[in-house]
Amino acid sequence: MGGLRNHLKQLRSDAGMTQAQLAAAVGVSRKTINTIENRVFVPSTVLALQIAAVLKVSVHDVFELEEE
Amino acid sequence: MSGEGLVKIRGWLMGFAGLVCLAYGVLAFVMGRPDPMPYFIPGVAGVAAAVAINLAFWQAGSDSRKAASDEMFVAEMNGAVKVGFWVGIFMYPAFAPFLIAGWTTFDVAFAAMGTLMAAAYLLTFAVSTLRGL
Repeated sequence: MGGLRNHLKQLRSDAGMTQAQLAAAVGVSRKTINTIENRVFVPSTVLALQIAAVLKVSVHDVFELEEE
Repeated sequence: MSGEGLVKIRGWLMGFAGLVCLAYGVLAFVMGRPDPMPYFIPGVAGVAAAVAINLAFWQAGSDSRKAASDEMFVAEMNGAVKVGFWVGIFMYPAFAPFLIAGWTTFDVAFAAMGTLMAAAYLLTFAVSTLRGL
C-alpha cells in the first residue's frame, strides 16, 4: 500500500484560510497543519475528519492513498 | 500566549536542560570524575525547565494549551522516548570496553551514562519540536 497524499494546502487556500486559522479551528498547532501539508506528519482519522469538516469537503477530497 | 509560543518555550527549555545534561555527561567522561561540576546542576536545570514550562502552560488559555498538546506533540514525545530508550540501552556496550580496559571507573561511567541518556531524550524532543516552526 502506498503513502498518503493530500490536497490540504490547495483546499485551505481555496477556503481563504491561513495555516494558523485552520489550526485554531481544529485545535492543533500551526506546525501540525504545516507538517501535514508537507507530508511529514500523517494525522489521525479524527483530525483528518475535523479538517475536512472545517473546509466543508469530504475527507476523500483532502486525503487519498498514493498508488504504488 | 499562543499555542505556537508554548511549543517554542517548551522546545527551547527542554533543549537547554538537554544541553546541560550533555555537557555534564561529556565532561564527566573526559575529566574522569563523576562530578565535573556540582552534581545537582543537571537536576536543577531539569526542574527549572519543568517549572517554567508548567508556568507558561498555566498562564496560557485553554485553546493554546490544547494546541500545544496536540497529536503532533504526542508523536514527537513518543519519538524522543524511543531515542532515549535505545541510547540508554546502547550506553552499556558503549561504555563496557572503557571499563574493561580500566580507562574509566563505574562511578564515572554511571554519571555519564545517566546524563547522556537524559540528554538524548531531551535534545531529540527539542530538535524535533523546534524544527519547522
